[in-house]
Amino acid sequence: MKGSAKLLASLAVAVFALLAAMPAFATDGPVPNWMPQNVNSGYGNRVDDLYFGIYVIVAAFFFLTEGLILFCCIAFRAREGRKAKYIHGSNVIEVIWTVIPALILIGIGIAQAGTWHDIRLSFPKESDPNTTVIQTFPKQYEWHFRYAGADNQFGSADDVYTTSIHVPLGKKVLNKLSSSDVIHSYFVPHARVKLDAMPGMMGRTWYTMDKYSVWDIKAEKMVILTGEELAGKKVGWSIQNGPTRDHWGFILSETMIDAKEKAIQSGMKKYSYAAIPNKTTVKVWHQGKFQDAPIGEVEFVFHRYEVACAELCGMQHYNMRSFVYVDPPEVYAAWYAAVCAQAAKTGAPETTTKRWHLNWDKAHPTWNKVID
Amino acid sequence: MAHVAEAHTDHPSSLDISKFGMWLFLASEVMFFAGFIAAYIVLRTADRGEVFSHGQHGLNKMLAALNTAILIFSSFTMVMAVHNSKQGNLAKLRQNLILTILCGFGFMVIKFIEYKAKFDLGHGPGFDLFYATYFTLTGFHGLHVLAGMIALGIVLANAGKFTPQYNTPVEVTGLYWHLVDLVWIFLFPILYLI
Amino acid sequence: MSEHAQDHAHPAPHEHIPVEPKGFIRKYIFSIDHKWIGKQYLVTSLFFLIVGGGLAMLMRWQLAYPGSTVPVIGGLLKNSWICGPEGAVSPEGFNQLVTMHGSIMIFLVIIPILVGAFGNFLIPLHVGARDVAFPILNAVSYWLYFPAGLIFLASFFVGDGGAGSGWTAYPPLSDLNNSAPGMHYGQVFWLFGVFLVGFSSILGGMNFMTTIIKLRAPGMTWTRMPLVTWAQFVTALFQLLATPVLASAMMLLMMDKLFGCSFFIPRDLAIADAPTGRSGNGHPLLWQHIFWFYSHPAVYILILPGMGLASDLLACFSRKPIFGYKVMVVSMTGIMGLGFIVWGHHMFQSGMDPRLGTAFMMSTMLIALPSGVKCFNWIATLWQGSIRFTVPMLHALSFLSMFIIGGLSGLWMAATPVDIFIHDTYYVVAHFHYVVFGGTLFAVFGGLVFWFPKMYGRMMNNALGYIHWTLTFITFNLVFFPMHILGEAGAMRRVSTHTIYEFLQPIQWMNVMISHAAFILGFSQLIFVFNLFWSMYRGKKAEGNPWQSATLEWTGPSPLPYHNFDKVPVVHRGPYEYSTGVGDKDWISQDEPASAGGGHGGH
Repeated sequence: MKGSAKLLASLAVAVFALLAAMPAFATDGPVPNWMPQNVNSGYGNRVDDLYFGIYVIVAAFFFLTEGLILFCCIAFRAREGRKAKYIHGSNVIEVIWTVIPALILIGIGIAQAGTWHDIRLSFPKESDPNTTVIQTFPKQYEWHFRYAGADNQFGSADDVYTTSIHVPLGKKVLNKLSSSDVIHSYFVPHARVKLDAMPGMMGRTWYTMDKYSVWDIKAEKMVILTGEELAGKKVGWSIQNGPTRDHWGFILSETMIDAKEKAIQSGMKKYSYAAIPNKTTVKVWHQGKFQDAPIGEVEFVFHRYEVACAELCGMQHYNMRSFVYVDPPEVYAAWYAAVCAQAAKTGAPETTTKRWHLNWDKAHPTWNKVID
Repeated sequence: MAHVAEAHTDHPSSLDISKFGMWLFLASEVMFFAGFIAAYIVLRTADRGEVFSHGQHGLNKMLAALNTAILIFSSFTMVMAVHNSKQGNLAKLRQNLILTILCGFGFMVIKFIEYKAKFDLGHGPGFDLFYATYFTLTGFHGLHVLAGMIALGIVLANAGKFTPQYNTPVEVTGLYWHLVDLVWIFLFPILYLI
Repeated sequence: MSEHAQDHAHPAPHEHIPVEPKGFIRKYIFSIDHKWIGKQYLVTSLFFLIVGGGLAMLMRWQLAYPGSTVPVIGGLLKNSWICGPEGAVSPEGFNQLVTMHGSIMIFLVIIPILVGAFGNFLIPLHVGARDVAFPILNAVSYWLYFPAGLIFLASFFVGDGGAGSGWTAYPPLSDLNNSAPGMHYGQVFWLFGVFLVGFSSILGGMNFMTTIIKLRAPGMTWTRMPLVTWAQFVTALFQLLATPVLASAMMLLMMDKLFGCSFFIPRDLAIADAPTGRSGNGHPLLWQHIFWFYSHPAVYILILPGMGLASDLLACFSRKPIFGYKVMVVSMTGIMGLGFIVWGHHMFQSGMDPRLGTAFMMSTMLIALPSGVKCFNWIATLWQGSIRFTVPMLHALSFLSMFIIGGLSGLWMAATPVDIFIHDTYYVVAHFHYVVFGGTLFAVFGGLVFWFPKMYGRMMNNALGYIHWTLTFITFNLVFFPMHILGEAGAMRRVSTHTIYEFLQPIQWMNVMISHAAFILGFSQLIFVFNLFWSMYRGKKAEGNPWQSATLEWTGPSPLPYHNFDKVPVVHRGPYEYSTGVGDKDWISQDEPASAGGGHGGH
């Protein structure tokens, strides 16, 4: 019995040691961190700070309590001559370990209230030209977005309808959310954004993306860079005189991504931009300007952040994925001008406008319930 | 030295236990209808009264008021039945039980007339949110009335067994019947009047 | 407190001593004996534990090796409700697995095994009664639960598959019959099953509360009740007051599905751009409020009885009275009071008014307090004890250490801004499995080994017990601890694969590792089930009080006679009088005469 108890105690220690060490396997940085890199300067860092603040408190309690349990198991194990002490309790100790955790818990509660207020109860002004307003209206297994278009009015003929979004670097974005069928949840992990898209309700969430996601052509991987880090680099934007979609911009990065996905689907581990003819001249964004350059000189292309659905929404829920492209303001402006022009020219199909009938400006004050 | 306390020197009587159990069950019934009524309050508030006030005009207040009177009267006959069983007056007990069941039956008939009128107009539970609420609340209340009538029927069939010492089923069923009445007292104003 | 002692038991003159019926059906099928009904609950819920665990194994296979044929049973499942033509789990099948795993484990395993099996078996014994207050109603409870389980299972086989909207069944997904496969008949069966099992739960709660309040033996004051029974009392109150609210939610959804009402359907909803035909004006958020008003208290139904079981085991095998008995009781009632006002913390990201979020955040912070105080008291119970590492004790210690992890991880989720990121990720999965598996199931295993001799008159095999605990403890942590990290990386729960997301591809290895550990974990449970059934017939014969425990059930032989106690016991002291230093043994039974010592008659 004694031997088995020792064996079990050491096994338990081993498991706990493993668990405690697990966060240290983290990919980078001095703090254990498995979270996707934060790119939302609006409040992402505050969320992360809270996360790691609580981490410290929790770790302290974890090692205190589990350590005490292990200590008791070893020091007070039954053995020859050991007698348990007959104690019923102590009011002083009870008060101490009630009051101290209570203060800590209330402290955590108060510490986060301000952040919560800034995230969910104060929003950028829609009238501010620096705010990008995007309506999000998913349906089963697809994300659908709408921009106001050239006239800056939602619900007019020149609205821009998309299935992924572009936002300018460092500018506030206001996402309004609803749903035309079941509940979806708009989740942008890198931006610490998550909010349910509730049918019949209008939810609002905002963020400021302050880092680019770009594709490093040589290293063949996605990297996250700040504006300064990208300033000196040549970043591919669009292929001049490309096939048909050049006015949409971003044909280059989209081609890259298409190539990558095709490669993955066909089981390849490596993929490259070889699909694009080497002599093509492309438009690059370099030192804040658009320039022409041969494709061989391009170091990066603009990449994207992923959007996922975080609320079980049916059969293809796992596959409900979209993208946020973060552009330099100049690139964003060029892209936006291009899509607006396209929308003004062709207009949206009737099925689309019919689906988007919802009157987003009329929301019930208490629940933000949308009323027609 | 140890203090020895006594929780119970006597075993509690079966009536005591059964009544206590029934009170607990009634508490859970109250929570069941509280869930419905909470839903009603929330939906009606969010609806800003449009669908609800419109739907309410279509209901027959007179029949509902009659039903309220019938149920209140049945509560009275139920109280009398319990009183009779305590006194061992079995003939009066049977008489009052039958009256109570008849009241329940009358309630259900009137409810049926109301329902039929609505269905004839095409106003089923799927017609709009008000009728959904109306049919759900009154429907589940109706099921409770039916259950109460069955319980009273069983009590009536066994009425010969009761003595002033043993009348547990009458008292317990009586408690249940009063709850059924009470729920209606809440449903009547919220669905028909306000 | 009255001074005059009553040292000899005399049954009240009208007391009815139950006699064991003779016929097979009355004895074994429709028995009204609380001990037998408890065993019926036990065996049935263990069956469902294996079913629910099997579903989890299928999910783990899919998450580790998405789209590949399930080994061994893949051929059988081909073209079924959960697998495609290749024998691999399909996306809609995965949703059904998620839903049914959760619902089966919560409604058919944990609640019935805690309340149905342990509650039934222990409450009358612990309060010194011959049976529960309403024995026939008790049998009715079981016979509502059993068909409810069959209806749950049948839901897989009706229409185009089982319910697939998660155990939370959020409308409009669960409400609209054509929103996804399995949302029509499968969902209706599911609703009906939950309603029945809820009704069973309400009757059980009412029965146990009446038993505890009205049938306590002479001398069994409130402060002399074992904490198991206190926990069952608080749980019964939850069941009685919260479950009916779930029933009303189920009925509202049922009205929506069967009669075309639109309680949870807003205006102008369309599935695949086709109008639903419902009148609208309802509100999906309403469901979440009503559902969580029940289902948050339900998570306390899932853990409180486990806390009770662990309290008894920790005291018994530390050979010490429980530290701070009254504080333990007060904290349980505190959990109950606060348990009714924290439901909104499941809805921080739902679009609920954010100001309500702040209020629910504060109440959630507060409810961590009583649980924390309980943990400190348990540790203090170990302190300066004489700890015997028996199999039940190892399970109780695991309960304590795992529950602490599960409780601490809850702090992140209570913090509203942090919850934005970890809501609906594997972080949540890790958190509640640490509480419900790491906490409750360990307590259940410990409790079963502990009370097995009282149930079946034999001891469970010790060697198998140690092997089962070791494998379970290690693999449990290897399965669920990494899920915290998956959640930290942002992995969504309830998705059939993470591999299509670029940000999750680097940690797919962790999913593979978790799945392998999960398969060992699943296999280890078969050892326990084997041990249980083998020991029923082949185990070592047990003496009356094999663990030297002080509560009332150990005063009689193992197993106990049909009527429990020959004489209704008279209680003289609290339940945990260990190592008092009086007499030659280190415990004093609750019913030993006052002269045997062991102070604190009523604490």
